[in-house]
Amino acid sequence: MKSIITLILALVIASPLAAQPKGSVHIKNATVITITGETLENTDVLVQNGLIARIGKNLATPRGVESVDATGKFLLPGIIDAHSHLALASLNEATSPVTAEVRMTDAVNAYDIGIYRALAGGVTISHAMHGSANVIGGQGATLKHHYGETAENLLMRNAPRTIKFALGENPTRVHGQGNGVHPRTRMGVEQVIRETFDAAKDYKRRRAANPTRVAKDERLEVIADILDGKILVHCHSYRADEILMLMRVFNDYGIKNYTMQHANEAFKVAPELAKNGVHTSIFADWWAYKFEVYYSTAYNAAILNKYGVINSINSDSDELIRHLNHEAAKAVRYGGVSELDALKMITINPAIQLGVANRVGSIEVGKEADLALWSKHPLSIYAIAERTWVDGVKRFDIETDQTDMRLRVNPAAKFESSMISESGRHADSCMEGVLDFFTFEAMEHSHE
Amino acid sequence: MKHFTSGIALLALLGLGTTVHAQAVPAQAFTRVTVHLADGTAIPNSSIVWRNGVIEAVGANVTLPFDARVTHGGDSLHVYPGFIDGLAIWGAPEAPRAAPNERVARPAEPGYERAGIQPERSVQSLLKKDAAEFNLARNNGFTLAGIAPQGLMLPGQLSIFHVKGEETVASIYRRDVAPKASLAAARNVYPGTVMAVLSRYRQLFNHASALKARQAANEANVGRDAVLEALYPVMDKKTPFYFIADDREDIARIMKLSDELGFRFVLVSGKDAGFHAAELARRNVPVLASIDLTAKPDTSNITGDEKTAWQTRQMQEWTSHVRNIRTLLDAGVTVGYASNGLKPADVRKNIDLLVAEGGLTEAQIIRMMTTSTATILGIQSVAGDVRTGRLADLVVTSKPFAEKGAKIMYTVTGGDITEIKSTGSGSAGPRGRMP
Repeated sequence: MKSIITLILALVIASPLAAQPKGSVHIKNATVITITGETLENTDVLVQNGLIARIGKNLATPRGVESVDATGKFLLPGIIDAHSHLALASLNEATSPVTAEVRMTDAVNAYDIGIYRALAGGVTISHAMHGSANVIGGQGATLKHHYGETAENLLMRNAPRTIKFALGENPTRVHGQGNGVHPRTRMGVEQVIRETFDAAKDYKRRRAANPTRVAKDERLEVIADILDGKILVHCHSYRADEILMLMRVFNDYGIKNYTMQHANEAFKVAPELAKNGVHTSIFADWWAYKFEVYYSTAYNAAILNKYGVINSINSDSDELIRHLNHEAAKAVRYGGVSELDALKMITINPAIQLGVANRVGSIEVGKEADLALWSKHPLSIYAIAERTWVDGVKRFDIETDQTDMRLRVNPAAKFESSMISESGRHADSCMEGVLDFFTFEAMEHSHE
Repeated sequence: MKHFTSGIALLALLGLGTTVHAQAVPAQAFTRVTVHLADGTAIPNSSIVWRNGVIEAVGANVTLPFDARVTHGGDSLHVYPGFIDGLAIWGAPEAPRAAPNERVARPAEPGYERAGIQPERSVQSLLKKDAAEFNLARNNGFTLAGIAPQGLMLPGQLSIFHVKGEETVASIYRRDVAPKASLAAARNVYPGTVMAVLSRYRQLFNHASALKARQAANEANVGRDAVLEALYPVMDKKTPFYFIADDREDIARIMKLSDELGFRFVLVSGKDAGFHAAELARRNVPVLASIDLTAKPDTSNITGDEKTAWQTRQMQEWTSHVRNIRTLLDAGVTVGYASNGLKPADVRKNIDLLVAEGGLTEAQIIRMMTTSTATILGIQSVAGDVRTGRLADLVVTSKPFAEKGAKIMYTVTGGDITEIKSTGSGSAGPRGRMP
């Protein structure tokens, strides 16, 4: 009982005013998979005040810094999930085809135990996205997995802004078929994007001409920022034709530096994606959960990689996020992607897609110390993440892992086992929350 | 009011009608009672005299005016300031609920009313005059109450009423004090999630400041908008929002939004506000606290290690929940009281729990329910204490209030005295006698 109480005290969330924490640690004698450089045998990594300070052999441990013997173990940058809905209090503002003004940063749920489970899979950053009910959904939140901190301290400081777009069946079903407003078809989806972009340009002109007469418009301000290249677009898509459509539209409006999410048919248009510098963030082998996702292949990652498309492998699932290393390994199995390229798909490539590759995603001096220590090579099916650090602060340690890692409990709740009841993949978790709004039959089928 | 009127009528019959002025309204008094001031001081063997709804004298050596009508309830009565409810919803109709399969023509633009954006609404025209809570509240010692409409984001204005049974709605004391606010989403229409509610607040403030600027510049063809104009005093920090929230993450969202939009707020309910106690104190955000406490977890029939550990944590969480108000007070937060839906009949049992497990003293509870609530409502100079010149709003108990078995014998509201029958339904008519 005593240990439980100690644990509870350790779990008490830090005061909301505390700065984002930073730690120091000396990891000794590991196989360091740097991702952007050589893999270094028997090498130390010294972390000071949240940053990687030195990488080398037989480094001295500064006074007061904990050292960890990593002999025989593998140090990997923290895994980054470019498509997640973890730790969110709300997901889909499905009442309008365009809701660019809503911010996932307003809806972070710091108490989601899924954050801890992700840490146990070596994942240190997730991209908390709006769902895919709307053509232009809300702005994303790039979260550092500082489990035990407030929502404010989960937000990665100064991360570039992102926003969710969605094409195809989801927005047409919710708005066109559900509410009788456009878009009802894929053609309509394109027109919603073009009309919204034009409205933002028009708004910007009108407001610049008369800032007092024209009220600031939260929605169109965001769209204008997209057009000005200030926000990274992440677009839910499946079919090759809609991927081409979005590239055409974005070329018309001069939008660059964006990522197609899911993109199950991206392999069909890999040369076009490479030519336009468009990124992809895909599932390793997950499809056939609705009509537009039937034409897919586990070779998608290998083909995109071969054509030079910057590709990441994501989870879109609170369960799958716990073993993204396995998902990356599938790219080696299907299509013979090199081990290093496969690991890039869960580290530096998602970092590029979130605009944070200068800070995380590899082990380099000066970068933020988001690290995970693995028992074996992380692409091995037997590899276990043993320790995970975020900004040098140890947020997971298999040695001290406790049965109950909840940050708070409901005093009125009835007893329930803390065993994970997660059954694996939920088809289309992007549509979560939509049923709260719309309850007609067609929608329910898609959730099976 | 009734017996004032009859007093005046009596004087008129005596031929004094033509010279009636304030002094002619007879005084009323309690004698040989223990008076408890809001600061916790008890004055035994006291008298208290009031006239015209205002306290004229309090103390041990008060000379009763010749015309004072003394209510005599025995020698051991305790007189406290009347309780003030900072935000009640008594008599306010329930917000219309969206049908589960409702189809709205344009869910993206539902209009102010359907979205729950009605900060201009006055509550008094909405109230059910004969709501049972008005009598029940008086029977439970409440003499003044802020009452606000029910609804979603911005349900309407809080007004302050004297609690006088069926005369409550007519006994308005301060009209349209400030708008009530919440993060409640509108089902099926925009804003349908907490994140959209926050965006909607931002957009409302944008629209209101643009309209205000245009009106100030006397531009031609500038329309009026009652909804946006109702937000001006909040934008100008003249009045706060009365923001309803319990969850710590919602409270954090409201603090962040208040920084962004520059409004002040009173936190209402705040069952989990203790988590932010230091921050609320630093920001000078007062809390009108709920005492609607979760029942103590049932720890009987514990078997198995996992269940034992689980229930140990649950007990710890419950302890911090029941000590929420104490945590706020210790941090220096001004804590008043709001029922916000708690039934008047459940007040007593929760107060007992606050004393037994919540770490609160009688004095702290009385202060919370009187002078602190008055301070938050901005009426501390006239209400919330038993002092000369204050409103004659009193609650009279058979024993010290926090003691077990203490019964409320009388309430005095704006000078009107009501004897509380043990059956629970209070009725006017004192057992007074003329000296």
